[in-house]
Amino acid sequence: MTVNDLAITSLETITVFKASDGDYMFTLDELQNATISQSQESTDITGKAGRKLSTLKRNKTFSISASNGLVSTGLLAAQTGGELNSENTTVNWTEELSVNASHKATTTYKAVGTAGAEIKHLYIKNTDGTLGAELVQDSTASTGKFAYNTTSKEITFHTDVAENTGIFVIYNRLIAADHLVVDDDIADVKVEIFVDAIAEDKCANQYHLQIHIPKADMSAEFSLDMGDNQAIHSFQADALAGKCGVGGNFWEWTVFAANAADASST
Amino acid sequence: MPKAIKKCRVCGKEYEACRTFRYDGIFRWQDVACCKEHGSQYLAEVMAARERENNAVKTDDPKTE
Repeated sequence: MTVNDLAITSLETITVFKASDGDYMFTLDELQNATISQSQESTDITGKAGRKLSTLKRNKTFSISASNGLVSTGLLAAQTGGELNSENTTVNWTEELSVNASHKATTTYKAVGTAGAEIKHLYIKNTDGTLGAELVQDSTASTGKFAYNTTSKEITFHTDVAENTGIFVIYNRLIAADHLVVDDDIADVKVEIFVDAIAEDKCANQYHLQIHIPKADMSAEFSLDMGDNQAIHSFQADALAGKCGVGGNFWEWTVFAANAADASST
Repeated sequence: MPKAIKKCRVCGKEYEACRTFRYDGIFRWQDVACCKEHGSQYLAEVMAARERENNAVKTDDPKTE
């Protein structure tokens, strides 16, 4: 099969593995665009009167960049060098509650932390909605102090805090979550990348295109717009020479018929 | 250098608290008291108060009997 000219009609997925041990990292499948680019510097070798005799080639580079329409936690881990785990972790939680007739209020979730200081901050709300006096947690409720029971999740106030008083509470809660921890050390992640796309020739035959980068350095630079704009997750990676076991392959371009059967290995 | 000053929940004395990473589930007396002894005293008071309250709830609720 020889295919000359192709139109790339659909960018399907980018699949990324750790270069060091081949562990699967993530797949991007809501790709808006991807760009591959290669460059190489040439220096002229000149002779008499500056006549060009040949060229010295150096600094060959190959890079890939892409934008995904959804934020990928796996890509974040690759870009930051952080460790992504499904585990129990604490999150900061804020709540606005109201004191009942028994001078109590109940947090929605169980506050965790040092025993007797699980509620980090508690403010009495003023009638205009602003925050007023801060109360301190203690073993029992008294003037300016409140008690918290982790079993019932009840905050008990002294009798001077009237029914329907609004309070603003800040505490930590324990939650099972996908948790990415990025430490302050330098991120240095080497990855193996596969880009899969659908292509078409002039006769409308469909092909599958796979670009393989055996070893690439994932750039640690990214930004995510949140709020007014869609959060588009982009990345950039530069191919590196010399992956263990792949020799001098910088990258590979493989085109095969979309409906191709397995080739015989003999 | 600015210092984190907290008030001891047992004696009310102000003390310099260190803002280290807190491991949940571990009681750190520095979060609540000026010294180890007051930290232990405070923890005992909190536990006793909670136990009293939880026992009272069990007695009130016939389902738990």
